[in-house]
Amino acid sequence: MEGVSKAVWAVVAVVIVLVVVAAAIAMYKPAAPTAPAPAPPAPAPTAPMITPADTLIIAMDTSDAVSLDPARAYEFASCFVVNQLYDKLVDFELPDLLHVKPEVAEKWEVSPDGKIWTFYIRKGIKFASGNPLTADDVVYSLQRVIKLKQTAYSVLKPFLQSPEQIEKVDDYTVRIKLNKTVAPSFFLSVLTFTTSSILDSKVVEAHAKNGDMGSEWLNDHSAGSGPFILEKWERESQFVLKANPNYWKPGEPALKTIIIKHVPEPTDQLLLIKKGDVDVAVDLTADQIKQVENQTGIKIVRVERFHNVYIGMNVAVKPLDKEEVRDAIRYCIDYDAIVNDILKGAAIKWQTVVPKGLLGANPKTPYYKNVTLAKQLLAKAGYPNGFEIELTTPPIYPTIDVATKIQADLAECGIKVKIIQMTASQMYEKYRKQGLQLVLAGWGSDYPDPDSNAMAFGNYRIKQLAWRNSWYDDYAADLAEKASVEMDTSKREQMYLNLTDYILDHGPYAMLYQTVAQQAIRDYVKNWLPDPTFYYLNLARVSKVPSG
Amino acid sequence: MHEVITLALMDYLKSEDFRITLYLVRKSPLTMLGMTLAISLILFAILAPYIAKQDPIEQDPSKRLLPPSPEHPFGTDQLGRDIFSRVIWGSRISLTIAVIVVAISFSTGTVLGIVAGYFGGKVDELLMRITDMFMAFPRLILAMAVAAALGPGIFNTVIAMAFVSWVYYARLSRASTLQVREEMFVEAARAIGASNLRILFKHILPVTISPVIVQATLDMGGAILTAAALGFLGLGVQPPTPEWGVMVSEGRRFITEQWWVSTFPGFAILLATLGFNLLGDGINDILNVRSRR
Amino acid sequence: MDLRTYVIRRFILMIFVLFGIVVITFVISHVIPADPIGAILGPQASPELVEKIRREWGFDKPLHEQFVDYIFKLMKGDLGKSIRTNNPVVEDLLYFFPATIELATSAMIVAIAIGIPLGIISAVKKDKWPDHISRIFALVGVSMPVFWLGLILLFVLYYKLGIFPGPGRLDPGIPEPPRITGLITIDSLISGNFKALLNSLWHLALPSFVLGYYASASITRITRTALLEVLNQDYIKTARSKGLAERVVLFRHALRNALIPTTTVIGMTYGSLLEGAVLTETIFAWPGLGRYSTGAFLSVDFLAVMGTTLLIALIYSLANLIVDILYAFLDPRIRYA
Repeated sequence: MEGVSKAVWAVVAVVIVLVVVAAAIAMYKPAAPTAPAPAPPAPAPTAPMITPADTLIIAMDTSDAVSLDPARAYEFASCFVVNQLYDKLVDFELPDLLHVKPEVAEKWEVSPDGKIWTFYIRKGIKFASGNPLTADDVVYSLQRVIKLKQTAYSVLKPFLQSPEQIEKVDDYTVRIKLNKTVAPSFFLSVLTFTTSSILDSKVVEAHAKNGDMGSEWLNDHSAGSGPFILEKWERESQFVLKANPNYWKPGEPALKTIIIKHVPEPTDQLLLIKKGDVDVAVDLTADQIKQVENQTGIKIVRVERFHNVYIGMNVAVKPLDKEEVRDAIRYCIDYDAIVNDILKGAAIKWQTVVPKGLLGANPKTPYYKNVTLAKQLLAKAGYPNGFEIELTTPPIYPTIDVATKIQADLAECGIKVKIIQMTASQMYEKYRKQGLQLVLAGWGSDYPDPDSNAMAFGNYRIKQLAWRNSWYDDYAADLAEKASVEMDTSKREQMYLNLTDYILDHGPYAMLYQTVAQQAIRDYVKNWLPDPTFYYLNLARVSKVPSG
Repeated sequence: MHEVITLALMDYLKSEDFRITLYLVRKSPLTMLGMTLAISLILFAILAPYIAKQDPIEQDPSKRLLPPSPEHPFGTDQLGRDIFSRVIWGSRISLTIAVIVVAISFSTGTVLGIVAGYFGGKVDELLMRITDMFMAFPRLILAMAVAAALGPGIFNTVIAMAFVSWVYYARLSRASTLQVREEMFVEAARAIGASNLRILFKHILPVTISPVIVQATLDMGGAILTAAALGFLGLGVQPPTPEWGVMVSEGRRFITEQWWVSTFPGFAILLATLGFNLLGDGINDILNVRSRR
Repeated sequence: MDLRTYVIRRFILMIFVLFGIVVITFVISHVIPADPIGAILGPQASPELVEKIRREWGFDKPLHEQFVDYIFKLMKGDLGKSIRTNNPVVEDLLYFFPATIELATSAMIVAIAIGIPLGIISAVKKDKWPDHISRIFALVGVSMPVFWLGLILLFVLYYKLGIFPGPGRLDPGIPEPPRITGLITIDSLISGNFKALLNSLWHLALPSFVLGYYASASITRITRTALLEVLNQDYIKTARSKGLAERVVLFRHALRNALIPTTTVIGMTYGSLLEGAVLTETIFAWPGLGRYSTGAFLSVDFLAVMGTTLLIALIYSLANLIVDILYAFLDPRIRYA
């Protein structure tokens, strides 16, 4: 069959040619980076920098980013980016989250009743466009948030309900009249949230369409005075930020470009940072962090986030209405195994509703796994043989593993748990309607003040977590409301301690742990500070120094 | 009714046809390999409690992510569960899903296809349009949509997959039916006055069964993979049930250092799917050879 | 019937099919007991805000009204707005679509480059070792989860060996070509940016291989079967008995006819490539339709879900239509009554 062999060989030859061509393309390596030559490897054991020295490349999962309009931005990724593009009246400078620093406002006064604030605006700040920043811009930006009434507005809503409450006194002075007394530190910390960013009113209005006050344009453009400008946002691909040439703080930013690469798969982020193709990877899992922490050239930045994971128990669903049953569940969970074995460095045990690091944080951890006690409590409540219940959770890691562990733990006490995975949109729909039984969820504080957590977990009247778990407790609600207007800081702290104690005993929650963020960075990245929130890290001071 | 089916089956088994089929199977090593793999899978599923002594859902977080050892031949996963027993027990789940999905889609599809092909006319037109619609839908996307609508869980996953698979059987059986319908012996049978039902069973069914069976074996593998894909997206089987696809998906976070968490269930999927595919291919070949005689 | 009538008839049928798909998708996406607005606004949002946004979007109207609205808008070419991105769905689709086309097409090329030669070898050397090896090789491709293969290849070929680049379409340092078609390879070619062309091809290699390998199995199988069929035909035997060299027989006569059913399968495979892209795009951080649709499904972004499904169904139907027409054109014996 000579002819056939020839045909076969011809085919094989074609395939080989294709493979060779593919290999030739594969052999192509990108051009050498424009960075100065890497430092000699002699001194510290460090890996050379293969990304350009004036560009910081961050690998992050940015799928939750919806809009970069400060009046709308509310998610991790969007707030992180917005923070680099805009300034606010006052801001926190890491690591100090207790005392605000002047930013756009150089000083301020408050009336004795805590309701009238006057801000004096710094002269000489220019927006990226070159327009000077004046009181008009401050008034415009804050009024805009109230007028547009998007999600982020909820942060200001309790005390700012009408645009008239913000007025211009003169070109560099703004007066804000709150409609109720608010603890000064609380109000100031709310002003540091990205919602209160100051926008370039002329530029934004020039792009307004159909009365949206420029919102559609601002989705993916910037008009601020911050250290960086948004060059482009390619959805599901990357954010590219460039240094603002008109930035008013001398010597900043140190970097010329920041690229936030959208990498949804943590394993991909792991490979990229190990190889050195990115400088920072923020979404590695706890096990992956263990893998890289000892690798030459990589450092781990750890910080306890203001984020708590909890089990919510719907009091309206029998037998969760009985306090003994809720207690039994709390005594049946193996918190230590979850924190030490499953989460390994990505969490700390924390059982109260105000996270560590905030005023009023309560470090008590009275609950631990005690099956005997749990069974006694169940028997006392009339359920000696346990019962069946559903646990709803989104299909993400590591919460799924935690849920599975809890399922096994509760089984030891006779409680049969059926796990129901639901995507966030389905879960929140039911949760908001008080339609879940047990839920495994997380809560991140919006700003560094205990009010956000206290109200959410304690006050059913605002239809948040307490309400969603059908816990109508007036004592807790009243206490939370009183604490938010208390002007004396030490009294305030005591109120929060009392509240958290009360919720610890009677509330519908089993607080499991507080998240510890672990970010992997290459060691030539300097000044990447630990940030317990996700929007105070100021990239203007971050630089890349090759010598390790 | 029963007599018709039993007689048909017995006729077939005694026939020369069947013996030649057996011979052809033995002659093709790949088909033998496929059959071996498929049968092994079924055996593992049935004998799971005897082969895997450790509890597949028992957790021990202090023993997380241990490499393969005599005590844990496939290592442990992120919750300290023994992977070997999870893989063995997982064969039950995967096999059950595959069998149910294929059985449902196979029976509904084939029946619909035969009916449409035989009776023709408006019934046929309607069926063709409906199958056109389903075929234009990429299967995974439709499965995702249905799973998202019904919520995750084994039962819903199975419905989702069956919902998208029946069309192929309908098309195949319809095509065969159309071919056979015009054959002389069918005309003859009708002339004698045989009832439609009898014709359908005795004459049409045996012919249409062949290509459909090939598709069914191939779909077994496909069902296992779709279950894996749904698991990857969080829409599949719920914890702590061991299902191979979800295990591979969960283990992908550990791929750089604890490779065993993904690899062993991955291999299980590979071997099972490969077995069914080889079997299907082999049957296809045999049928082709036979149809040329 | 003649070719023209056939084409027109198929076209009209396609429109009906697409309409049916609109109905099915609409029903499915509205049956889902989910609150996408609520999920997007986040757990912190108040019920009043959620209601307000729902009213703005018209989701509080009764279903049949919503459906009719949708159909009218559809006829004007308006697919509505995505809840997540706040952009018109048409814009979103135009934005994400080219990346997937780039990936699916190059995967198709890989699939054909692997599938057809393997199928030929298999058929010609039937039942001997080359046949067994090619068949197993092809079948392995459809027997493993696409995302698993992708991760393993990334781990070995990118991380360990550094032969291929990491996830993404282009290295950060390379200047991007202007967006003309949205396919980086074509755009770089058009604008003469060879650095970007080579770099993007390099990035394209692994994901196309993973997807293409998966798709090649059915091509291998059909080529093998079709070729075997043809090689047994009488006219082949005639050609051989006339003394023609085997190679001529194979390429001039047999292959041409064998390729007809193969073409049909290629059309169908294009559809499954689009679906395989969903998983591949996540692993390789490829910003295409797969990622967009996954996000849309998981957050039940109704209009984005419907838009994406319609688009994919449209492409799939068109591909099949073209293939069927080619088929009818090439083989005059086939005419569907």
